[in-house]
Amino acid sequence: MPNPLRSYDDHLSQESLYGDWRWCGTLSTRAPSTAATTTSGFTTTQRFPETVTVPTMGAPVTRAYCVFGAVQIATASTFVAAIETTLGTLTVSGNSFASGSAMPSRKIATGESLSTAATECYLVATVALSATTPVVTITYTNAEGVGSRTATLTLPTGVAVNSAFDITPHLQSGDTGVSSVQNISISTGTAGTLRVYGLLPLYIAPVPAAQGTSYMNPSTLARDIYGVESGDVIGFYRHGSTSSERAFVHLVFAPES
Amino acid sequence: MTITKYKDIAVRISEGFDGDLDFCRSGFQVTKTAITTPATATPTVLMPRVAFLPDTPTFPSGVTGYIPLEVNVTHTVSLATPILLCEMFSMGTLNVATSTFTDGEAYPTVNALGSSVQQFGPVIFEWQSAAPTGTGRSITVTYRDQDNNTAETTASITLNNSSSQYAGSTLPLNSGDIGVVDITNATSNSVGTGIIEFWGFIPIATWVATHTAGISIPLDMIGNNLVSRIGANKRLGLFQVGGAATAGGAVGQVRFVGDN
Repeated sequence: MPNPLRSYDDHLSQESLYGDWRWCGTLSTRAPSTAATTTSGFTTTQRFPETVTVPTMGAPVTRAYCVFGAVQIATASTFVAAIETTLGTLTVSGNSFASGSAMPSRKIATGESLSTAATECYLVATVALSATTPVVTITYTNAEGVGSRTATLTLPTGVAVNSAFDITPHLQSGDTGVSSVQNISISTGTAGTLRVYGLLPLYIAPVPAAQGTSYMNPSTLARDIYGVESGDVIGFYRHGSTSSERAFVHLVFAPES
Repeated sequence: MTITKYKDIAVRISEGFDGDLDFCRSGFQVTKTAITTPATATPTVLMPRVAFLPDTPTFPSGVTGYIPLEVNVTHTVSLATPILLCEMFSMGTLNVATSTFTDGEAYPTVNALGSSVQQFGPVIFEWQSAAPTGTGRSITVTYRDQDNNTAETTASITLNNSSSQYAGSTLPLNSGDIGVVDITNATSNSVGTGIIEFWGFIPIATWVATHTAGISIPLDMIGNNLVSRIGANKRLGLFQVGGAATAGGAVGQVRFVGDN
Protein backbone atom coordinates (compact mmCIF):
# COMPACT_ATOMS: atom_id res chain seq x y z
CA MET A 1 0.00 0.00 0.00
CA PRO A 2 2.39 2.77 -1.16
CA ASN A 3 1.66 5.94 0.72
CA PRO A 4 3.14 9.12 -0.74
CA LEU A 5 3.57 10.56 2.72
CA ARG A 6 5.88 7.79 3.85
CA SER A 7 8.96 8.95 1.98
CA TYR A 8 10.14 11.01 -0.96
CA ASP A 9 10.77 7.73 -2.76
CA ASP A 10 7.16 6.65 -2.30
CA HIS A 11 5.92 9.99 -3.54
CA LEU A 12 8.15 9.91 -6.62
CA SER A 13 7.13 6.33 -7.35
CA GLN A 14 3.41 7.00 -6.93
CA GLU A 15 3.62 10.15 -9.03
CA SER A 16 5.41 8.31 -11.82
CA LEU A 17 2.74 5.61 -11.89
CA TYR A 18 -0.48 7.57 -11.35
CA GLY A 19 0.27 11.30 -11.42
CA ASP A 20 -0.20 14.00 -8.82
CA TRP A 21 -3.19 16.29 -9.13
CA ARG A 22 -1.80 19.83 -9.28
CA TRP A 23 -4.53 22.37 -8.95
CA CYS A 24 -5.00 26.06 -8.26
CA GLY A 25 -8.00 28.36 -8.07
CA THR A 26 -9.19 31.78 -7.06
CA LEU A 27 -11.64 32.49 -4.26
CA SER A 28 -13.60 35.57 -3.32
CA THR A 29 -16.02 36.82 -0.73
CA ARG A 30 -17.68 39.79 -2.31
CA ALA A 31 -18.90 41.49 0.84
CA PRO A 32 -17.82 41.70 4.49
CA SER A 33 -18.99 38.94 6.79
CA THR A 34 -20.19 39.22 10.39
CA ALA A 35 -17.81 38.89 13.33
CA ALA A 36 -18.30 36.14 15.87
CA THR A 37 -19.21 36.82 19.48
CA THR A 38 -18.85 34.85 22.70
CA THR A 39 -22.26 33.33 22.04
CA SER A 40 -21.53 32.53 18.42
CA GLY A 41 -18.24 30.70 18.09
CA PHE A 42 -15.74 33.17 19.59
CA THR A 43 -13.42 33.05 16.55
CA THR A 44 -14.40 35.21 13.61
CA THR A 45 -14.49 33.03 10.54
CA GLN A 46 -15.44 33.47 6.93
CA ARG A 47 -16.28 30.78 4.40
CA PHE A 48 -15.41 31.26 0.75
CA PRO A 49 -18.43 30.31 -1.37
CA GLU A 50 -16.32 28.38 -3.89
CA THR A 51 -15.63 24.68 -3.48
CA VAL A 52 -13.69 22.15 -5.51
CA THR A 53 -14.67 18.51 -6.01
CA VAL A 54 -11.97 15.85 -5.97
CA PRO A 55 -11.93 14.15 -9.38
CA THR A 56 -12.61 10.50 -10.02
CA MET A 57 -9.58 8.35 -9.29
CA GLY A 58 -8.54 5.36 -11.35
CA ALA A 59 -7.79 1.93 -9.89
CA PRO A 60 -5.73 1.04 -7.98
CA VAL A 61 -5.65 4.58 -6.56
CA THR A 62 -8.06 4.80 -3.65
CA ARG A 63 -7.26 8.09 -2.07
CA ALA A 64 -4.86 11.01 -2.26
CA TYR A 65 -3.09 13.20 0.23
CA CYS A 66 -2.60 16.93 0.17
CA VAL A 67 1.18 17.11 0.08
CA PHE A 68 1.62 20.80 -0.66
CA GLY A 69 -0.36 23.97 -0.20
CA ALA A 70 0.18 27.64 -0.85
CA VAL A 71 -2.15 30.58 -0.52
CA GLN A 72 -2.06 34.30 -1.14
CA ILE A 73 -4.49 36.54 0.72
CA ALA A 74 -4.35 40.29 0.90
CA THR A 75 -5.10 40.67 4.61
CA ALA A 76 -3.75 38.91 7.66
CA SER A 77 -5.70 35.81 8.59
CA THR A 78 -5.48 32.04 8.91
CA PHE A 79 -6.50 30.03 5.87
CA VAL A 80 -7.99 26.55 6.01
CA ALA A 81 -8.70 24.06 3.23
CA ALA A 82 -10.74 21.10 4.42
CA ILE A 83 -12.86 18.19 3.32
CA GLU A 84 -16.31 19.64 3.80
CA THR A 85 -19.48 17.72 4.59
CA THR A 86 -22.91 19.34 4.60
CA LEU A 87 -24.45 18.02 7.81
CA GLY A 88 -27.76 19.88 7.54
CA THR A 89 -29.49 23.00 6.22
CA LEU A 90 -32.03 25.34 7.74
CA THR A 91 -34.19 27.61 5.62
CA VAL A 92 -35.13 30.34 8.06
CA SER A 93 -38.47 31.00 6.43
CA GLY A 94 -40.73 28.34 7.86
CA ASN A 95 -37.94 27.04 10.13
CA SER A 96 -37.50 24.29 7.57
CA PHE A 97 -34.71 21.75 8.14
CA ALA A 98 -33.19 19.52 5.47
CA SER A 99 -30.96 16.62 6.41
CA GLY A 100 -27.42 16.40 5.13
CA SER A 101 -24.86 13.61 5.26
CA ALA A 102 -23.05 12.15 8.22
CA MET A 103 -19.32 12.72 8.48
CA PRO A 104 -17.48 10.30 6.18
CA SER A 105 -15.38 7.27 7.05
CA ARG A 106 -11.65 7.50 6.60
CA LYS A 107 -8.74 5.15 6.84
CA ILE A 108 -6.53 5.47 9.90
CA ALA A 109 -2.93 4.39 10.39
CA THR A 110 -3.83 0.76 11.13
CA GLY A 111 -5.59 0.49 7.78
CA GLU A 112 -9.06 0.40 9.30
CA SER A 113 -11.78 2.65 7.98
CA LEU A 114 -13.52 4.47 10.80
CA SER A 115 -16.27 7.03 10.97
CA THR A 116 -15.00 10.53 11.54
CA ALA A 117 -16.42 13.35 13.59
CA ALA A 118 -15.94 16.99 12.80
CA THR A 119 -13.87 18.70 15.44
CA GLU A 120 -14.22 21.80 13.33
CA CYS A 121 -17.86 22.40 12.65
CA TYR A 122 -19.38 25.64 11.40
CA LEU A 123 -22.81 27.20 11.13
CA VAL A 124 -22.63 29.21 7.91
CA ALA A 125 -25.02 31.77 6.49
CA THR A 126 -25.22 30.74 2.83
CA VAL A 127 -27.96 33.36 2.43
CA ALA A 128 -27.92 36.47 4.62
CA LEU A 129 -30.19 36.72 7.66
CA SER A 130 -32.09 39.77 8.82
CA ALA A 131 -33.23 38.59 12.25
CA THR A 132 -32.27 40.31 15.49
CA THR A 133 -30.02 38.11 17.68
CA PRO A 134 -31.67 34.85 16.70
CA VAL A 135 -31.04 31.77 18.81
CA VAL A 136 -30.11 28.69 16.80
CA THR A 137 -30.42 25.22 18.27
CA ILE A 138 -28.62 22.31 16.63
CA THR A 139 -29.47 18.73 17.54
CA TYR A 140 -26.58 16.40 16.77
CA THR A 141 -24.93 13.06 17.35
CA ASN A 142 -21.56 13.39 19.04
CA ALA A 143 -18.24 11.75 18.21
CA GLU A 144 -19.07 8.76 20.39
CA GLY A 145 -22.35 8.16 18.55
CA VAL A 146 -24.61 9.51 21.26
CA GLY A 147 -27.60 11.30 19.76
CA SER A 148 -30.04 13.99 20.94
CA ARG A 149 -27.22 16.32 21.95
CA THR A 150 -27.81 20.05 21.50
CA ALA A 151 -25.67 23.08 20.75
CA THR A 152 -27.11 26.57 21.12
CA LEU A 153 -25.72 29.71 19.53
CA THR A 154 -27.06 33.26 19.74
CA LEU A 155 -26.10 34.90 16.47
CA PRO A 156 -25.46 38.61 15.92
CA THR A 157 -28.18 40.69 14.31
CA GLY A 158 -28.31 40.67 10.55
CA VAL A 159 -25.78 37.97 9.77
CA ALA A 160 -24.09 38.57 6.42
CA VAL A 161 -23.64 35.89 3.79
CA ASN A 162 -20.50 33.72 4.14
CA SER A 163 -20.26 34.35 7.89
CA ALA A 164 -19.21 31.16 9.68
CA PHE A 165 -19.74 30.49 13.38
CA ASP A 166 -17.77 27.78 15.15
CA ILE A 167 -20.17 25.37 16.80
CA THR A 168 -17.52 23.47 18.74
CA PRO A 169 -17.34 25.80 21.79
CA HIS A 170 -21.09 25.44 22.20
CA LEU A 171 -21.32 21.65 22.07
CA GLN A 172 -22.94 19.96 25.01
CA SER A 173 -20.57 19.53 27.94
CA GLY A 174 -18.01 16.79 27.36
CA ASP A 175 -18.50 16.54 23.61
CA THR A 176 -15.54 17.01 21.30
CA GLY A 177 -17.05 16.58 17.87
CA VAL A 178 -20.10 16.14 15.69
CA SER A 179 -20.71 13.08 13.54
CA SER A 180 -24.15 14.06 12.20
CA VAL A 181 -26.91 16.64 12.63
CA GLN A 182 -30.55 15.72 13.15
CA ASN A 183 -32.14 19.16 13.33
CA ILE A 184 -31.52 22.88 13.20
CA SER A 185 -34.06 25.43 14.39
CA ILE A 186 -34.08 29.20 14.85
CA SER A 187 -35.99 31.35 17.32
CA THR A 188 -36.89 34.18 15.00
CA GLY A 189 -36.51 35.48 11.48
CA THR A 190 -37.92 35.07 7.99
CA ALA A 191 -34.93 35.51 5.72
CA GLY A 192 -31.78 33.55 5.11
CA THR A 193 -30.31 30.07 5.02
CA LEU A 194 -28.00 28.45 7.56
CA ARG A 195 -25.96 25.37 6.87
CA VAL A 196 -23.85 23.24 9.18
CA TYR A 197 -20.56 22.09 7.64
CA GLY A 198 -18.28 19.52 9.22
CA LEU A 199 -14.60 19.87 8.34
CA LEU A 200 -11.63 17.54 8.14
CA PRO A 201 -8.73 19.97 7.70
CA LEU A 202 -6.20 19.32 4.95
CA TYR A 203 -4.13 22.46 4.94
CA ILE A 204 -3.90 25.27 7.48
CA ALA A 205 -1.83 28.31 6.63
CA PRO A 206 -1.08 31.33 8.77
CA VAL A 207 -1.00 34.44 6.61
CA PRO A 208 0.57 36.88 9.02
CA ALA A 209 0.98 40.06 7.01
CA ALA A 210 -0.85 42.11 4.47
CA GLN A 211 -0.31 40.76 0.98
CA GLY A 212 1.36 37.82 2.60
CA THR A 213 1.38 34.18 1.80
CA SER A 214 2.18 30.93 3.40
CA TYR A 215 3.17 27.57 2.06
CA MET A 216 3.91 24.35 3.74
CA ASN A 217 4.37 20.69 3.24
CA PRO A 218 1.69 18.95 5.29
CA SER A 219 3.90 15.92 5.85
CA THR A 220 6.01 18.10 8.10
CA LEU A 221 3.08 19.02 10.29
CA ALA A 222 2.32 17.18 13.47
CA ARG A 223 -1.41 16.84 12.99
CA ASP A 224 -3.98 14.55 11.48
CA ILE A 225 -3.84 14.09 7.75
CA TYR A 226 -6.93 12.82 6.04
CA GLY A 227 -6.88 11.29 2.61
CA VAL A 228 -9.28 12.69 0.06
CA GLU A 229 -11.44 10.36 -2.00
CA SER A 230 -13.25 10.74 -5.31
CA GLY A 231 -16.15 13.15 -5.01
CA ASP A 232 -15.01 14.75 -1.77
CA VAL A 233 -15.82 18.44 -1.61
CA ILE A 234 -13.03 20.74 -0.47
CA GLY A 235 -14.13 23.96 1.18
CA PHE A 236 -12.10 27.03 2.07
CA TYR A 237 -12.25 29.18 5.21
CA ARG A 238 -10.29 31.89 6.86
CA HIS A 239 -10.14 33.00 10.46
CA GLY A 240 -9.56 36.43 11.91
CA SER A 241 -11.09 38.83 9.45
CA THR A 242 -14.48 39.96 8.21
CA SER A 243 -13.33 41.95 5.22
CA SER A 244 -14.32 40.98 1.72
CA GLU A 245 -11.38 39.15 0.29
CA ARG A 246 -9.80 37.46 -2.69
CA ALA A 247 -7.42 34.53 -2.49
CA PHE A 248 -5.26 32.39 -4.72
CA VAL A 249 -4.79 28.81 -3.56
CA HIS A 250 -2.50 26.10 -4.91
CA LEU A 251 -2.85 22.52 -3.69
CA VAL A 252 -1.14 19.31 -4.72
CA PHE A 253 -2.57 15.86 -4.07
CA ALA A 254 -0.46 12.71 -4.31
CA PRO A 255 -2.06 9.31 -4.91
CA GLU A 256 -2.11 6.31 -2.62
CA SER A 257 -2.81 2.88 -4.05
CA MET B 1 15.21 4.94 -16.50
CA THR B 2 12.10 6.20 -14.79
CA ILE B 3 12.73 8.33 -11.75
CA THR B 4 10.93 6.56 -8.92
CA LYS B 5 13.38 7.16 -6.10
CA TYR B 6 15.21 10.17 -4.79
CA LYS B 7 18.58 8.65 -5.65
CA ASP B 8 17.42 8.16 -9.25
CA ILE B 9 17.64 11.92 -9.66
CA ALA B 10 21.34 11.84 -8.81
CA VAL B 11 21.82 8.93 -11.20
CA ARG B 12 20.15 10.80 -14.06
CA ILE B 13 22.20 13.92 -13.32
CA SER B 14 25.38 11.85 -13.31
CA GLU B 15 24.36 10.53 -16.73
CA GLY B 16 24.01 14.08 -18.01
CA PHE B 17 20.24 14.32 -18.17
CA ASP B 18 19.96 17.63 -16.37
CA GLY B 19 19.74 21.18 -17.60
CA ASP B 20 18.54 24.71 -16.92
CA LEU B 21 16.08 27.15 -18.37
CA ASP B 22 17.62 30.52 -17.63
CA PHE B 23 15.86 33.82 -17.72
CA CYS B 24 17.24 37.29 -17.46
CA ARG B 25 14.45 39.59 -18.40
CA SER B 26 11.57 41.41 -16.92
CA GLY B 27 7.96 41.83 -17.78
CA PHE B 28 7.89 45.30 -16.35
CA GLN B 29 11.01 47.41 -16.17
CA VAL B 30 8.93 50.43 -15.21
CA THR B 31 5.99 50.69 -12.86
CA LYS B 32 2.77 49.76 -14.56
CA THR B 33 -0.92 49.87 -13.83
CA ALA B 34 -2.82 46.61 -13.61
CA ILE B 35 -5.12 45.74 -16.48
CA THR B 36 -8.09 45.96 -14.12
CA THR B 37 -8.79 46.85 -10.51
CA PRO B 38 -10.58 44.37 -8.24
CA ALA B 39 -14.19 45.33 -7.65
CA THR B 40 -17.12 43.76 -5.86
CA ALA B 41 -18.69 42.32 -8.98
CA THR B 42 -15.36 41.53 -10.60
CA PRO B 43 -12.98 40.24 -7.92
CA THR B 44 -9.54 39.46 -9.32
CA VAL B 45 -6.12 38.55 -8.07
CA LEU B 46 -3.45 40.74 -9.61
CA MET B 47 -0.92 38.67 -11.55
CA PRO B 48 1.86 40.82 -12.97
CA ARG B 49 4.32 38.80 -14.95
CA VAL B 50 7.80 38.50 -13.50
CA ALA B 51 9.46 36.97 -16.51
CA PHE B 52 9.10 34.80 -19.53
CA LEU B 53 10.99 31.56 -19.73
CA PRO B 54 12.16 29.94 -22.92
CA ASP B 55 9.92 27.07 -24.02
CA THR B 56 11.06 23.69 -22.83
CA PRO B 57 13.24 22.11 -25.52
CA THR B 58 12.37 19.18 -27.73
CA PHE B 59 13.10 15.97 -25.88
CA PRO B 60 16.60 14.69 -26.47
CA SER B 61 17.10 10.98 -26.91
CA GLY B 62 16.39 9.13 -23.68
CA VAL B 63 14.06 11.77 -22.21
CA THR B 64 10.25 11.68 -22.12
CA GLY B 65 9.60 14.33 -19.50
CA TYR B 66 11.26 17.13 -17.59
CA ILE B 67 11.04 17.11 -13.79
CA PRO B 68 11.77 20.54 -12.26
CA LEU B 69 14.17 20.27 -9.34
CA GLU B 70 14.72 23.86 -8.30
CA VAL B 71 13.59 27.34 -9.23
CA ASN B 72 15.56 30.39 -8.28
CA VAL B 73 14.54 34.01 -8.73
CA THR B 74 16.47 37.16 -7.91
CA HIS B 75 14.39 40.31 -8.18
CA THR B 76 15.65 43.85 -8.11
CA VAL B 77 12.89 44.98 -5.75
CA SER B 78 11.77 43.55 -2.43
CA LEU B 79 8.73 41.37 -2.94
CA ALA B 80 6.04 40.77 -0.37
CA THR B 81 3.93 38.34 -2.34
CA PRO B 82 4.57 34.86 -3.65
CA ILE B 83 5.84 33.89 -7.05
CA LEU B 84 4.04 31.36 -9.18
CA LEU B 85 5.85 29.14 -11.66
CA CYS B 86 3.40 27.57 -14.05
CA GLU B 87 2.90 25.83 -17.34
CA MET B 88 0.95 28.18 -19.60
CA PHE B 89 -1.25 27.77 -22.65
CA SER B 90 -3.08 30.42 -24.63
CA MET B 91 -6.87 30.22 -24.41
CA GLY B 92 -7.42 32.96 -26.95
CA THR B 93 -7.03 36.62 -27.77
CA LEU B 94 -9.39 39.57 -27.97
CA ASN B 95 -8.87 42.58 -30.19
CA VAL B 96 -10.62 45.28 -28.18
CA ALA B 97 -10.78 47.68 -31.12
CA THR B 98 -12.88 45.32 -33.21
CA SER B 99 -14.30 43.09 -30.47
CA THR B 100 -12.88 40.10 -32.30
CA PHE B 101 -12.15 36.96 -30.31
CA THR B 102 -9.74 34.35 -31.63
CA ASP B 103 -10.15 31.06 -29.83
CA GLY B 104 -7.24 29.15 -28.36
CA GLU B 105 -6.76 26.03 -26.28
CA ALA B 106 -8.98 24.74 -23.50
CA TYR B 107 -7.60 23.41 -20.23
CA PRO B 108 -6.19 19.98 -21.07
CA THR B 109 -6.99 16.62 -19.61
CA VAL B 110 -4.15 15.40 -17.46
CA ASN B 111 -3.11 12.06 -16.01
CA ALA B 112 -3.73 12.47 -12.32
CA LEU B 113 -4.63 10.10 -9.50
CA GLY B 114 -4.70 7.16 -11.87
CA SER B 115 -7.26 8.70 -14.16
CA SER B 116 -7.68 11.11 -17.03
CA VAL B 117 -8.81 14.32 -15.34
CA GLN B 118 -10.30 17.34 -17.06
CA GLN B 119 -8.17 20.07 -15.60
CA PHE B 120 -9.61 23.49 -14.76
CA GLY B 121 -8.26 26.59 -13.16
CA PRO B 122 -7.89 30.35 -13.22
CA VAL B 123 -7.25 32.43 -16.31
CA ILE B 124 -4.74 35.26 -16.44
CA PHE B 125 -5.54 38.01 -18.89
CA GLU B 126 -2.99 40.61 -19.91
CA TRP B 127 -2.25 42.95 -22.75
CA GLN B 128 -0.42 41.14 -25.50
CA SER B 129 0.19 44.39 -27.32
CA ALA B 130 2.82 46.77 -26.06
CA ALA B 131 0.95 50.06 -26.23
CA PRO B 132 -2.80 49.65 -25.79
CA THR B 133 -4.71 52.89 -25.62
CA GLY B 134 -8.19 54.07 -24.83
CA THR B 135 -10.46 55.43 -22.15
CA GLY B 136 -13.55 53.64 -20.94
CA ARG B 137 -12.72 50.23 -22.29
CA SER B 138 -14.54 47.19 -20.97
CA ILE B 139 -14.86 43.54 -21.87
CA THR B 140 -16.96 40.50 -21.03
CA VAL B 141 -15.80 36.91 -21.30
CA THR B 142 -17.87 33.80 -21.88
CA TYR B 143 -16.48 30.65 -20.30
CA ARG B 144 -17.29 27.11 -19.30
CA ASP B 145 -16.78 26.71 -15.57
CA GLN B 146 -15.04 24.05 -13.49
CA ASP B 147 -17.92 21.64 -14.05
CA ASN B 148 -17.82 22.22 -17.82
CA ASN B 149 -21.37 23.53 -17.59
CA THR B 150 -23.09 25.54 -20.30
CA ALA B 151 -21.02 28.62 -21.00
CA GLU B 152 -21.74 31.72 -18.93
CA THR B 153 -20.66 35.32 -19.26
CA THR B 154 -18.80 37.40 -16.72
CA ALA B 155 -19.95 40.75 -15.48
CA SER B 156 -18.53 43.67 -17.43
CA ILE B 157 -14.83 44.05 -16.61
CA THR B 158 -13.52 47.60 -16.64
CA LEU B 159 -10.03 47.98 -18.09
CA ASN B 160 -7.83 50.62 -16.56
CA ASN B 161 -7.07 53.48 -18.89
CA SER B 162 -3.33 53.49 -18.36
CA SER B 163 -2.88 49.75 -18.06
CA SER B 164 -0.11 48.26 -20.05
CA GLN B 165 1.64 45.10 -21.10
CA TYR B 166 2.35 42.29 -18.60
CA ALA B 167 0.36 43.75 -15.69
CA GLY B 168 -2.29 41.06 -15.82
CA SER B 169 -4.97 39.80 -13.46
CA THR B 170 -6.97 36.65 -13.01
CA LEU B 171 -10.24 36.64 -14.86
CA PRO B 172 -13.04 37.57 -12.43
CA LEU B 173 -15.47 34.66 -12.48
CA ASN B 174 -19.11 34.62 -11.55
CA SER B 175 -19.99 33.99 -7.92
CA GLY B 176 -19.33 30.42 -6.83
CA ASP B 177 -17.08 29.53 -9.76
CA ILE B 178 -13.57 28.42 -8.89
CA GLY B 179 -12.14 27.73 -12.31
CA VAL B 180 -12.51 27.64 -16.05
CA VAL B 181 -12.32 24.75 -18.49
CA ASP B 182 -12.62 26.80 -21.67
CA ILE B 183 -13.16 30.32 -22.92
CA THR B 184 -15.67 30.28 -25.74
CA ASN B 185 -15.97 33.98 -26.49
CA ALA B 186 -14.95 37.44 -25.43
CA THR B 187 -16.28 40.81 -26.47
CA SER B 188 -15.31 44.42 -25.93
CA ASN B 189 -17.14 47.70 -26.17
CA SER B 190 -14.93 48.45 -29.21
CA VAL B 191 -13.30 51.41 -27.51
CA GLY B 192 -9.59 52.09 -27.88
CA THR B 193 -6.98 49.65 -29.06
CA GLY B 194 -5.06 46.67 -27.78
CA ILE B 195 -5.02 42.90 -27.88
CA ILE B 196 -5.68 40.91 -24.73
CA GLU B 197 -4.36 37.39 -24.33
CA PHE B 198 -6.03 34.86 -22.03
CA TRP B 199 -3.72 32.33 -20.39
CA GLY B 200 -4.68 29.11 -18.72
CA PHE B 201 -2.08 27.62 -16.45
CA ILE B 202 -1.25 24.59 -14.38
CA PRO B 203 0.82 25.38 -11.28
CA ILE B 204 4.28 23.95 -10.86
CA ALA B 205 5.34 25.88 -7.75
CA THR B 206 4.20 28.75 -5.57
CA TRP B 207 6.59 29.90 -2.93
CA VAL B 208 7.16 32.55 -0.37
CA ALA B 209 8.94 35.41 -1.96
CA THR B 210 9.22 37.90 0.85
CA HIS B 211 12.80 38.89 0.51
CA THR B 212 15.26 41.69 0.21
CA ALA B 213 15.95 43.06 -3.22
CA GLY B 214 18.79 41.33 -4.95
CA ILE B 215 18.87 38.27 -2.71
CA SER B 216 17.83 35.11 -4.47
CA ILE B 217 14.76 33.13 -3.43
CA PRO B 218 15.25 29.49 -4.29
CA LEU B 219 12.81 26.64 -3.91
CA ASP B 220 13.70 22.98 -3.67
CA MET B 221 10.76 21.39 -5.42
CA ILE B 222 11.15 17.69 -4.64
CA GLY B 223 11.85 18.49 -1.00
CA ASN B 224 8.55 20.36 -0.89
CA ASN B 225 6.58 17.61 -2.57
CA LEU B 226 6.27 19.52 -5.83
CA VAL B 227 6.74 16.78 -8.41
CA SER B 228 5.81 17.71 -11.98
CA ARG B 229 6.56 16.18 -15.34
CA ILE B 230 6.67 18.83 -18.02
CA GLY B 231 6.41 18.08 -21.72
CA ALA B 232 8.55 19.33 -24.60
CA ASN B 233 7.93 22.73 -26.17
CA LYS B 234 5.89 23.94 -23.21
CA ARG B 235 5.70 27.59 -22.24
CA LEU B 236 6.51 28.37 -18.63
CA GLY B 237 5.77 31.62 -16.87
CA LEU B 238 6.59 33.36 -13.62
CA PHE B 239 3.98 35.61 -12.04
CA GLN B 240 3.83 37.66 -8.86
CA VAL B 241 0.65 36.49 -7.16
CA GLY B 242 -1.35 39.39 -5.77
CA GLY B 243 1.49 41.81 -6.28
CA ALA B 244 1.83 45.24 -7.75
CA ALA B 245 3.62 45.65 -11.05
CA THR B 246 6.43 47.73 -9.67
CA ALA B 247 9.52 48.61 -11.61
CA GLY B 248 12.17 45.98 -11.59
CA GLY B 249 13.85 43.10 -13.25
CA ALA B 250 14.41 39.48 -12.45
CA VAL B 251 17.01 36.87 -13.22
CA GLY B 252 17.10 33.22 -12.37
CA GLN B 253 16.72 29.71 -13.56
CA VAL B 254 14.63 26.58 -13.38
CA ARG B 255 16.69 23.43 -13.13
CA PHE B 256 15.35 20.19 -14.58
CA VAL B 257 16.25 16.58 -14.79
CA GLY B 258 15.14 14.48 -17.74
CA ASP B 259 12.92 11.51 -16.92
CA ASN B 260 12.28 8.51 -19.09
